[in-house]
Amino acid sequence: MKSTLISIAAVAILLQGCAVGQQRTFLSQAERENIKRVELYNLVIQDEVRPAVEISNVSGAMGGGLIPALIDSSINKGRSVSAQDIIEPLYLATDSLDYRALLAKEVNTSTSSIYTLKEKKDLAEARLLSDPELKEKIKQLSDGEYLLYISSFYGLMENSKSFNSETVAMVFKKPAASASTARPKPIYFNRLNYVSGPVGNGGADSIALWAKNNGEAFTKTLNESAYETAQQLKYDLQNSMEFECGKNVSAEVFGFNGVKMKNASVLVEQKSERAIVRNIGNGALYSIPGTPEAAKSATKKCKSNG
Amino acid sequence: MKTIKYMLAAAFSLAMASTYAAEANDAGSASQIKYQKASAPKPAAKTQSKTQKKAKAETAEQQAPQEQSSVTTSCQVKFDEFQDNRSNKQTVGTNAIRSLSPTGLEVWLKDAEADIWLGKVKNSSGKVVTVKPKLERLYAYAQSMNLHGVMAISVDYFVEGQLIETRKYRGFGSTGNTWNAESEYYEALSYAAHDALPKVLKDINSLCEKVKS
Repeated sequence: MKSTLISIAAVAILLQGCAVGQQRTFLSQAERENIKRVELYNLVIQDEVRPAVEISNVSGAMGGGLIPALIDSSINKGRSVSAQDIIEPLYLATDSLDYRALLAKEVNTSTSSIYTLKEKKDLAEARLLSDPELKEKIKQLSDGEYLLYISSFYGLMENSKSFNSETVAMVFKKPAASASTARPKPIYFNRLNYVSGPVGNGGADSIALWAKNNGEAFTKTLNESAYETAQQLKYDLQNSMEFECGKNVSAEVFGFNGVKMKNASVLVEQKSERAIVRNIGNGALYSIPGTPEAAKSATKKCKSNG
Repeated sequence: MKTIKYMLAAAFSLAMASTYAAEANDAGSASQIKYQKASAPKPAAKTQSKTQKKAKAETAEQQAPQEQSSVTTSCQVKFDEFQDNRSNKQTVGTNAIRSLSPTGLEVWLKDAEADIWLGKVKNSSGKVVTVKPKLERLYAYAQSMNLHGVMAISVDYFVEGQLIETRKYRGFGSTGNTWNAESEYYEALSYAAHDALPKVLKDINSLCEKVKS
């Protein structure tokens, strides 16, 4: 039993390592001009939306340890079971809704307006490429061809009141024949996020509203998430600016473990009902509802890179 | 001394984790999904600390498989084989290293059906009710330190060859993520089947009563 507990903790530590945020790598103007033909790998691992689960963090509060980790595991298991029960009406109302199809349509449209796509697929991919498969895909690129690899996750947050999606986007170029056999580094990297406005008072109340009229509100939100993600991708691939010369704002977004937090950001675009902001810390883009409040002090100056 | 023991065990765990990671990186090998019977009880921990008991109090439902009791009906029930109706037939999720694309899903479904449905229904000489199940979704995922399995099915109920009704059912099962091994994800899927399929048995009785006359 003791070794089981320790191994659970060890795997958790390994997985935590994956959660460390990576800084944006923007495309230089020279690289942007080189990209003509693109192979798109649009990955959506999930078959459907994940329910909102407030993850227990007894372990964090107690400064770690195996027993607190076991307590967390047990509490989270129970919370996941309850969350599945609560979300069931939404699943039943929207079982024909496929985020893979919605995202594929929007990303195909946005990227084909700036590049020639090697192939357009009606559905996003379900299969995560292993490291060797990804390396081989990059190696097989022809001259002037680039791999645009995007991977998206989505779920309900904040006790089911909000919907959140995150897309990790990368561009790879074919390595030189003399390059090492290690996995090539992307020439572009960023995170593109969508946060919906709140619906209902949380829990079953929110689920009932999301599911009402055959999931009308949920379907609209998923469509908006796919559109906003595709537009952020297009925008970010076309801009070599490290930080936009916009207003400094404080943006409310979801952080690690689904906790809502305020990020120091730069306003990229204010639309009628939403805003696009860039996180000053790591360069990630967010599409958030409403108008973000102005930051008390300017924290970053805009910076252009040719 | 205790600290040294923990450190040794942690080092062993990390070594084992890397072994699993190496296996998972072998893109050429496909794992096989094996059904775990609902009647096989899960070994329970012999002792529990106070904190464990407290945590369990918040746990809504532990996923230990339950023995399915048989159902006596007023009709003759026939079960068709599962039809795979999933929009994603390639994978049943990912273990963060690679996709879970197991072989043997057809056998897994047959085993689940045999375990939970076939032989559990005591027929009478009434009307013939045919149950045609369709697998709509099947996937597993990791959350916190747990692995969860989801099974969504729809069932067409035919009475004397005529479609009477279609009903949808979902099942959810969880297990601890000890090694992040593919077999553990498949274990969660078996638990999801243990949750989803018995719901059909509960409905059969009421359906038989409904079409009795």
